[in-house]
Amino acid sequence: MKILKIKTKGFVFTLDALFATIVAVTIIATVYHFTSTAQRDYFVESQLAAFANDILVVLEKDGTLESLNIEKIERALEDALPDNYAAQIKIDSYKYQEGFLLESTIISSYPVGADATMPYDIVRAKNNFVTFSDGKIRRYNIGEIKLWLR
Amino acid sequence: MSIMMNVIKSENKQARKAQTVIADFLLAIVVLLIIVQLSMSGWNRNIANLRQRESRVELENLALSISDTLARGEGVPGDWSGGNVITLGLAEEPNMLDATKVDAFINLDKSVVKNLLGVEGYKFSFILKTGGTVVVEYGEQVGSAAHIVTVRRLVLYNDELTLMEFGLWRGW
Repeated sequence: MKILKIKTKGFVFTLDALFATIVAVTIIATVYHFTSTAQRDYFVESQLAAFANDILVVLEKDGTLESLNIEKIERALEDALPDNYAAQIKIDSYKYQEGFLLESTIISSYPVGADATMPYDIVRAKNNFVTFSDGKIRRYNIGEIKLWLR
Repeated sequence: MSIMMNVIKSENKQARKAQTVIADFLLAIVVLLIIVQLSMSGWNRNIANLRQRESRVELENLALSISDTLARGEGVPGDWSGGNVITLGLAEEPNMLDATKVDAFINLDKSVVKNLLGVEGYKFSFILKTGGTVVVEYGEQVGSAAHIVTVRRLVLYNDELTLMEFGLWRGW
């Protein structure tokens, strides 16, 4: 009986301390989580997104994408990319025959402008454009670019 | 005598009991004060960091927005020249620069450009590079500016793939 009494004497204090510790740790972890999330750098992401869109728009305007010539597209990418950028372009071409049918897919040799593996923070952009033949739409194309810093 | 002894024993017992509670309370106060002190210093550090970050983000957003205006907008009026410009924009189509507007732009006074772009109090640099060669350079020297934000955009200039770099930093 005496032993049991000694063992249960500090019980309330221990439980109280444990509860207080849990609350304190939770508050500190929450504050740390939110402050570290708030400090994430979105500028690099925004800059890459703007540049990825620029590449698709410019290569469409100068007729490079429409050529569907992978070597020409790769050369243009090499010219367009700043030294610390790397990119890969993929174009899916569809023809319309009672629905859209995938006719071909071209992918720039992986990875243009990079000697390292693709990182996690990649920015992707897409556009669509048509190619003509004899004044008629021949293909519907979807271009996708992946852009990242190396 | 026996009663007196009992009273003294009882008082001693009570005093010992209260001692435990006071020690526990003091320990809790010390721990609490340490936590409060740590939280306060952490909070102040975070506030300082956030203010610095906020200032940096403001600069980044401004630079991105201006680069968009210059590279994709045609300005107001659409065929603006040095004498009648209301809003700046160097494109004839999005991402296709108009060489005439670029010429007019680099001939404008820098204070007029800053006023039109809404960046009085800032300094800026504007560079066009074709094939790695600088073909147009305008604005201020970067010098020893510590917090410069540079935005890169891809445009067509004289039908060639051209890198447009717009740099912005605080002028004080």
